[in-house]
Amino acid sequence: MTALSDEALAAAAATGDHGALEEVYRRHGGAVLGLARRVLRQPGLAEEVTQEVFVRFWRDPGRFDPQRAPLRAFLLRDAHGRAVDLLRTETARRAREEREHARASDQVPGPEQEVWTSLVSERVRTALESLPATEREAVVLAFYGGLTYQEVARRLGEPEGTVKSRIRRGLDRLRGPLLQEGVT
Amino acid sequence: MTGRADVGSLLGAYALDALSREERRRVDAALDADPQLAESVALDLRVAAVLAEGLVDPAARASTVLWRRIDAATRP
Repeated sequence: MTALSDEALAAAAATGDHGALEEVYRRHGGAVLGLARRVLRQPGLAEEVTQEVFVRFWRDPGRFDPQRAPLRAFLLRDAHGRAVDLLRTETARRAREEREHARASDQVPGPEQEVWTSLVSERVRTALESLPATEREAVVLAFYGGLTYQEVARRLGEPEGTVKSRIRRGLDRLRGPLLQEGVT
Repeated sequence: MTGRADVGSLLGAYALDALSREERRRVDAALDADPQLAESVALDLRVAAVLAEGLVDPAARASTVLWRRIDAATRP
């Protein structure tokens, strides 16, 4: 099992080979958990997301298309999406609780501030720092802050269309530095 | 509001998981129905995958305790 490629493992898991699922977890479970921990910053919730990612992969293997992305990229994307969903739910819950406690404060410190620079790999940091500041801000707030583009727009006091355009241009610019090495 | 141009304007935010759930569902449906559109978002998804990889905490380990939970949830 350990000699199989990721693609072959995924195909085996899709036929019900539970050993293949275990090997997928052994290879990529740490990365999935490591991403979820960074997004959520709550170990318990990160484990919940990791469990959900692998259970979903097992129950609905057709969602993974090796023509579109390698297995690890697929699992990480799934983990990011689920972690962001949970983060938004948790943020909304905390916001409600804060309102209930009638503590007026609109200063909500978050990972989207400047903390990201100390969390991401040097390669990604260098690529992001090469972007115009407005595009970097939109990409970082959305992806690392877990905000929707509408929330980014509100946060920055900019029109939603402007934020969508900045994200679009930022992604286009990141293709060169992030995809040229053919990592994913 | 479900035209291709409308969905097209959402693809960047889609790749970054920056859409509302309703918008994401709309884009997912459009991508399923339109392979060309799916092709056009593929590079964005690859960029997002590298951004995600760059955020992974290298200290995180796939524990056997967590595997047992997954194992229990996936056994027939």
